[in-house]
Amino acid sequence: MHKAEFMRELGWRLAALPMPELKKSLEYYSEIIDDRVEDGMSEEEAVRALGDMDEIAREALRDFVPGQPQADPEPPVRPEHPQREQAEKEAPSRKKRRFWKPLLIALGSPFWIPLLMAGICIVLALYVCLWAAALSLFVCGWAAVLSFAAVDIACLAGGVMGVVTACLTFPEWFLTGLFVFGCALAVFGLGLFFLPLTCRFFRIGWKAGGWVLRGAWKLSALPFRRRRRSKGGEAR
Amino acid sequence: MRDIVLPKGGVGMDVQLRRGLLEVCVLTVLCRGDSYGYRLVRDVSDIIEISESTLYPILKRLEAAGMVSVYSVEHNGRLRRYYKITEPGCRRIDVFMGEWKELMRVYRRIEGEMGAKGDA
Repeated sequence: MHKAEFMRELGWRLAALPMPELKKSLEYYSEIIDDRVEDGMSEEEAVRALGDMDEIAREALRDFVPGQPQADPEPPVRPEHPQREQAEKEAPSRKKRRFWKPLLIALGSPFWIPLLMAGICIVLALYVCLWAAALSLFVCGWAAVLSFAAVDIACLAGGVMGVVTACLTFPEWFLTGLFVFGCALAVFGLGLFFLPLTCRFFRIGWKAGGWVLRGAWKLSALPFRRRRRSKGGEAR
Repeated sequence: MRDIVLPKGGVGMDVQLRRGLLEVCVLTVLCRGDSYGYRLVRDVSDIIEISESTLYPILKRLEAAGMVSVYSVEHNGRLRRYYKITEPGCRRIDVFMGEWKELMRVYRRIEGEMGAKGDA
């Protein structure tokens, strides 16, 4: 393994450490590898001489308790040297990883922004359809109920009017008056017969209307409720 | 909780005991003069078996306890971390010597007893 590979692997394994601790661990091993190479070893031999990666990681994580104050994070440097920045660049810094993500997202924006907008439009269209269907169902249902009721009331009213007319016609035209009276009674009877049904329709219409509206509301809220559940919620 | 650690080819030793010993060995080497990681591993290995990975937490602990101070020196275009023993570090060695003087006394007594019984 080359030094860079070793440092990368070690940095990944010790990612749980706070930044100053992580840096110190990496610098420690980097220094030892460099010293060995200076002594004449090859980079790979120097890395191998460090031993088992598991043990290195274990020892470096030893005594680490999150939250406890660690040793002085920045030892005094004498003298200050620009090479320190190079050592920092070599160590896989977490700041670098955080830098790449937003850059990639910004670069890809001409691709995903239109897709996102299309997605939003589709979702909005679905909502419009849902509510259009619910409301038209609601309106149609009530239209039917009300028209039935209107016909029923018309029958009753018609019957009453017919009887009144018949009474007025009787003196002059007896037979006509009788006919009208009979028709009026029939119509009135029809109206009375269907009256309970009308009332029933009203009640059904009230319940069904509420049900349709509530159903549409629940469907609209469904995507928001799913997010509150843990992963593995019920499928639609 | 005490477990016995078996280092490569070494004798089984209590973990806490071994770590305490290693700390004092590092401090003793540093008494000769300030040193850096790679050289410390070599010098301490003369006294007791130690690897780079074992040395690291010991240096961390000594630094945290204030028994060792650290500074960086430029060397061949890179930074080398030097460790220096402090006053508390020197006192730690004295405490160790005192503790073990008593230990050695008891050890010789036990050695004598066991030797007398024919166990060598």
